[in-house]
Amino acid sequence: MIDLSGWLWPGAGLGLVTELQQVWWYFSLGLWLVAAAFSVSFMAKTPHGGRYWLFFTLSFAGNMLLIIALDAISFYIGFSVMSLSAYGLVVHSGDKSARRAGRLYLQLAIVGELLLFAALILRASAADGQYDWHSWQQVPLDHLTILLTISGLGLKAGFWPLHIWLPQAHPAAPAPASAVLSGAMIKAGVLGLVLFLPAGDPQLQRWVPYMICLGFFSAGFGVLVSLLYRQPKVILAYSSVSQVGYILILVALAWTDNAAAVLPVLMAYAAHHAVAKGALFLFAGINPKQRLPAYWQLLFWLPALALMAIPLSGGAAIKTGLKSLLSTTTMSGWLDSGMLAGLLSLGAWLTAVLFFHLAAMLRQQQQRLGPRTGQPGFALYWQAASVMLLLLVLILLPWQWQPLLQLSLTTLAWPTIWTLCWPLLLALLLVVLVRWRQWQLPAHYYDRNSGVLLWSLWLKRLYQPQQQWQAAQWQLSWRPVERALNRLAPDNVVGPSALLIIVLLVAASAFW
Amino acid sequence: MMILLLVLPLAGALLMLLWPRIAPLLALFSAAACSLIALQLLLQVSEQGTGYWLLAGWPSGLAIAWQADTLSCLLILLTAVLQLLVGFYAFAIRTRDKLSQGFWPLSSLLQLSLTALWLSRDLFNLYVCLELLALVAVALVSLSGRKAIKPALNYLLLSLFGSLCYLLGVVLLYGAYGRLDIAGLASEWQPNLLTNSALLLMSLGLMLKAALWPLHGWLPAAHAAAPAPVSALLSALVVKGPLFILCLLWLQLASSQQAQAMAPLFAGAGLAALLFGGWSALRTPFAKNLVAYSTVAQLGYATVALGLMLKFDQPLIFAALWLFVLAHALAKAACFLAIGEMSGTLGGKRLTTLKGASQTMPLAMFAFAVAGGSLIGLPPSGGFLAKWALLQGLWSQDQQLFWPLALVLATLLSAAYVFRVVVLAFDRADPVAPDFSPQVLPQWLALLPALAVWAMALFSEPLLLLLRLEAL
Amino acid sequence: MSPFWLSYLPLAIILSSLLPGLIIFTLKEHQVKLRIALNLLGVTVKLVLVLIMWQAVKAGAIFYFRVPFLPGADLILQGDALSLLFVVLSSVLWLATTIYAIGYLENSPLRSRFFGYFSLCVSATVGLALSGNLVSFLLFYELLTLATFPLVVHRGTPEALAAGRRYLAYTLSGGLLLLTGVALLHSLVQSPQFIPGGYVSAVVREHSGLLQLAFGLMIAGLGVKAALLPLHGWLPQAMVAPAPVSALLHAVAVVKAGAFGIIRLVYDVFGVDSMQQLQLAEPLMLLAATTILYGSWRALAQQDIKKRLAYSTISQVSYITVGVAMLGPLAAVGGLVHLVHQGVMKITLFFCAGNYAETLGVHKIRELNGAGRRMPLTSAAFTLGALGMIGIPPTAGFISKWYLGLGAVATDNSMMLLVFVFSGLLNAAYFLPIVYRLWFLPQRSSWPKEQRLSATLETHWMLLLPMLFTALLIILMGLFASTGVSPLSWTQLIVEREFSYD
Repeated sequence: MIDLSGWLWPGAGLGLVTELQQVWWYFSLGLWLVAAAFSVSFMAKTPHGGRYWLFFTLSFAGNMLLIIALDAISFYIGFSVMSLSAYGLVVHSGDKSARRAGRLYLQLAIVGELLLFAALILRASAADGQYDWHSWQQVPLDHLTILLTISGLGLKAGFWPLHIWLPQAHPAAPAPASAVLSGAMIKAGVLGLVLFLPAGDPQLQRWVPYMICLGFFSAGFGVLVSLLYRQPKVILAYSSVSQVGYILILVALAWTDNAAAVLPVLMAYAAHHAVAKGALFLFAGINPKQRLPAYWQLLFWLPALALMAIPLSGGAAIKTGLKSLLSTTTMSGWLDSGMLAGLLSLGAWLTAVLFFHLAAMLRQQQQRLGPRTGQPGFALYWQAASVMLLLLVLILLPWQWQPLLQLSLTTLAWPTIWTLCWPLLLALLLVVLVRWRQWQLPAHYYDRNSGVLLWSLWLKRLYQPQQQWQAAQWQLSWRPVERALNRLAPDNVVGPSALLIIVLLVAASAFW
Repeated sequence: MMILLLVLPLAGALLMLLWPRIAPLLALFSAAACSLIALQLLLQVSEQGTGYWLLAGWPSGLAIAWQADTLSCLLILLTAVLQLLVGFYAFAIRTRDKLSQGFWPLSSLLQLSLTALWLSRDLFNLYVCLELLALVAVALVSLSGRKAIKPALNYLLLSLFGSLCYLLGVVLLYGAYGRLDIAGLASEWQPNLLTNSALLLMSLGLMLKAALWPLHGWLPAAHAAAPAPVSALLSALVVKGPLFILCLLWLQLASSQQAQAMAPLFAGAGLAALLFGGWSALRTPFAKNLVAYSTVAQLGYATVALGLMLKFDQPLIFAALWLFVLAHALAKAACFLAIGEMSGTLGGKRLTTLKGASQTMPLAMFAFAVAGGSLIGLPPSGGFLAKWALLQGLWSQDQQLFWPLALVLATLLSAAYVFRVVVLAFDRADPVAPDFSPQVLPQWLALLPALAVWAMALFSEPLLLLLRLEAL
Repeated sequence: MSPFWLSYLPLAIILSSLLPGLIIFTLKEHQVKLRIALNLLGVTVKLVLVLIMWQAVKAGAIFYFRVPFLPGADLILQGDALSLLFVVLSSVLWLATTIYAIGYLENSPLRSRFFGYFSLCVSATVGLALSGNLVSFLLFYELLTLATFPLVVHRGTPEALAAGRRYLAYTLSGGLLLLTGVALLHSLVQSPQFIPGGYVSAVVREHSGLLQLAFGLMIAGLGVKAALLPLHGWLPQAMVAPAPVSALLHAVAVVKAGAFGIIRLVYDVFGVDSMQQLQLAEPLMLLAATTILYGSWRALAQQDIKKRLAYSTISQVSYITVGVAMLGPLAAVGGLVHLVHQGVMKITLFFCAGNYAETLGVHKIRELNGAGRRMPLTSAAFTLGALGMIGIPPTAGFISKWYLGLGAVATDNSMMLLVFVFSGLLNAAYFLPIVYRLWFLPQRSSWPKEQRLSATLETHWMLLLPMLFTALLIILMGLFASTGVSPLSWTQLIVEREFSYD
């Protein structure tokens, strides 16, 4: 741990002190490095390479800084650097949709930034000028601070209803950038939510059930909306919205007194999702480049199945952990554990539906590329190797990493396997049925532009007005009046002056 | 020693008539000597108190009595110094502007009459000085030649008319009280119809001569028509003479009842002068007229101060009155010299001739701007000092909001006309080229009084104390 | 250290720029080297003197130099912690601006006059910072007006003259109001030295109405220069002046003089207690908050770079006023430190705007497309300045906003926090589109009036160096805010002294 309080502000420091930070540090670092390796080949020979790497490095640095920050200000610095630099990644391609998405992203990033700023101010005032996490743990919260923090960080984390920028920005960015946006940066918001709001705070407890509901809604919403889109990266982005819903549930659980039990699951979920989603986005970048050999589909199916929580995968372990957490947590009356378990199963089913839909779309994308033209070149192999690296982690993670290992071992029982599998089978059934019957919505339901873009444009017109109210310029023309007066003035001064004196004399003697 | 102050200019003037070739030297010499003597006198008076002095040893009542208090001494000093300065200026430009030989003896006579006026405390003596002053001034204006005949004639006629009014008042008083020395009259003063009318007559006559609003009509034309050194003298000194008498009348003779009745009229006239003069200065197309109208406006300050003094009887306001006079004299001399120099060199009497003057004649323009700063009342100039004293005097009265605000408005007007010139001077787009290469010495001479008026701030505390004591 | 010459130190600091200025007036146009040498000599001497004073004041000393002037109001120069804050700011930025101006005005006419007035302007500013009572302050305040006017009209074009007229109309009226207010206050309590806690408390009960009037008059007078809401009209128009002058107006001298005056007035003339008793702080704060939002809002529609920056100044300077008017120690730290931070950030932005104008001939925002490729250093500095203005960490702007925010919460003015957040949004809304154009849009056509001012660099080194220096300061002041040499620590020292008078 590096103590900077002498140099910077009181409590300033950097270091990997808690396990939470360590986990976040390693998976983020890994994902960024893989994305960098992927970019080396993926972004080669594209215009504005320097600019890309500048923003890539900056947001990388910001992301890492906020993870190892031991105080709120360092976190905020890292957070801002990361959010703002990521704008450069979002608009990198410079085409219309990227610019639109970038605008929306930046608008909301700034809003989030300032909301977080307000929250920080309130929090620091309550903490009497202390900024380190440790001191903040003891300071009670109030509802305004909670609201500001959740909305400020939530805008980065991207759960419903703060997700609106996410399905625009993630697909617009180049694939490696989307990978880190979805894999690492979203998690930065999540990390903030855990760090800023101390577990066990009485005011915070009242938010927990609502946040859990929000999480579930977000999880379902993401999937359902994703079915209306056909670009793989958009579907992946909505998948992130949905996955963040689960993470939000875990975060909310971590706010309760039961934090010690929840945190390992949360860390596992975040790390797992980061790696899997990163791999998927990277693959989504490779997919449209060239007609690929069939076995390359493995690069998609491995992470997809992991996220669908197929037995033996990390996803399965995590889902089981989440389920057991939910069943042990006692909530207020209307949110009983039976209902929660049902919701989880529903969620698993939906997730599976999403990925089957995604698989179909990826295949369509391949088919549109026409017949195969040749073997993939070195660049593609390099990129695939990067993805493989992530997949390796994904496969090994549940069996090598202590917290996850214990969860994984519990999934090996048959009943658990059955509970994990039936939603997937059901989903498969549904997809097959839809395929067979050729059920489809009318074409105009698909790939609609989000209304939020209109809102963003309206906002832009609001803050970049061409015309504004102007103070009225009075142009009174005095000159004619003045001329007339000048003409009235006598030519000779002697007579009038003498007359004036006499008049004044008479007047004065009359009144005095 | 005091007698020298009167003898030197008189003898000088006679000698100049006899021997015109050395007239400039004589004039400068006498002015320089008078300045030194005046300084000496000022120091002496401020140490030993007011000096009284009877001419030729006659007893009081018959003799011509002189009285030198600090205020008189200050004004004498001012007169002598300005005389010297303007003399130098006239000397410096003698080859360029053909000033007629008459200037030198006339200016010495002007000094004589003014010095005598500052020293007199007798209504008839004052009348004589006033008359002499007016005649000399008219003669000086007419030095400009044919174009000045009409303004000079107007000036003469009105001046005579004013003198007549004044004389009538004096006669009335003499008929009633049989004496004319101010101290004596004040002791026997009765507020009645007769003294009312006498005061009124004298005041109106003096207002006409001092060009106080609404009787200022002759001033702009006369001052604008005169040659630059003459207008400097006229604006700086001559109009202050009648004002001095006016102050004597109202502050020392008039009963408080009369004073109270007159106070709002004076103050109102002053404010009107400020506004009217300021507005006219802002609109006139001619450079010298602008400065002349500014004199009308600045005299308004003095009138306002007189009116407020009568109303509140607050020594600070009295100090403000004379500080206005002093600061205005110095600043206005600088303004007229600077403007005269610029119009002479750039060739034209319109304001637009001054376009780009900040480049072509930076010194003269600087002098004008610096003097203008004092007219506006920017700290730490003499004008600021006066305004500060006036404001302090006003604020020390309760619930006085109208006058401070009115003064602020008037000051804005003066700022507007001063900077009207300055902004024009910075117009680099199409500067007026000088007809011949500008002379440096006259420009410095114009700058001197402007710097002096700012230097007044260095002596602000003694000045304020002196003038405040004077009022008590 | 002999006390004899130390008492002349404040005077010497003023003279160190005044004398070179006066000499420069007399120089011929072609004596370039001599002029530059004089300028730099003045700057160096001043910085050394300021350093000496800084050391002493840090140790707790206060410098006085007095000359008798008016009864009850001497001319006093006083070197205390607060005045030093402003003195250091203006001296350091003067250094930067001088170098910039030398580069900017290379081969343009009337340079002697320009640099002469330039030095006068700085002398007046430093005098104003060092003035020890209201009358001295008034004096330098007016001198500043006069010294700046020739700089505003320096170009001599009709627009410049119109701007100059407007400038004069506003500032002279302001000066007069200030004079009236000072005179009123003087008639009540004389004009003693500035002292933490103020000196009006003795008459608060007796003359509360008059005190309020005096405060109102003086705020109106100072508000003209500080560009408070109804009195801000001159500032956007004055942007026709050359870039170094704008830098001077916005960052070093004029606008800051107004803000500094408000600080003095609130803390050292009226004092916190009297302000509370007279209920003067609340209206001032609301006015300043309105100005913040209004300035930002008007900045949105400006299509001219410098005009947008000007409206931004209107908004940013009011942060200082708000910080002062909240009457809490934390808010005061925020306000005072913003005096410095805003100066450094705004001067950077104006340097950049000047560079674009001088090198590319670009004045409008829409012409900036792709300027980041042609002038990367300038654009980077501009970006940094813009981020600072929005308050993004780790720039200096964040520090001031942070303390202002803390102060708002500490003094129970949570509404102000909302104002800061909203203004931050507006700042982003008018700065980020420019940044976007710089870096992300392709260049449209050839630049309006491009000049190659340097073979290797993007523009003349004298235009680059000061800008990079101030841009670096933005980051350094933000990152190392807690170290002993930062403006923040100095303002904390000031506030400690100001708030612990009893």
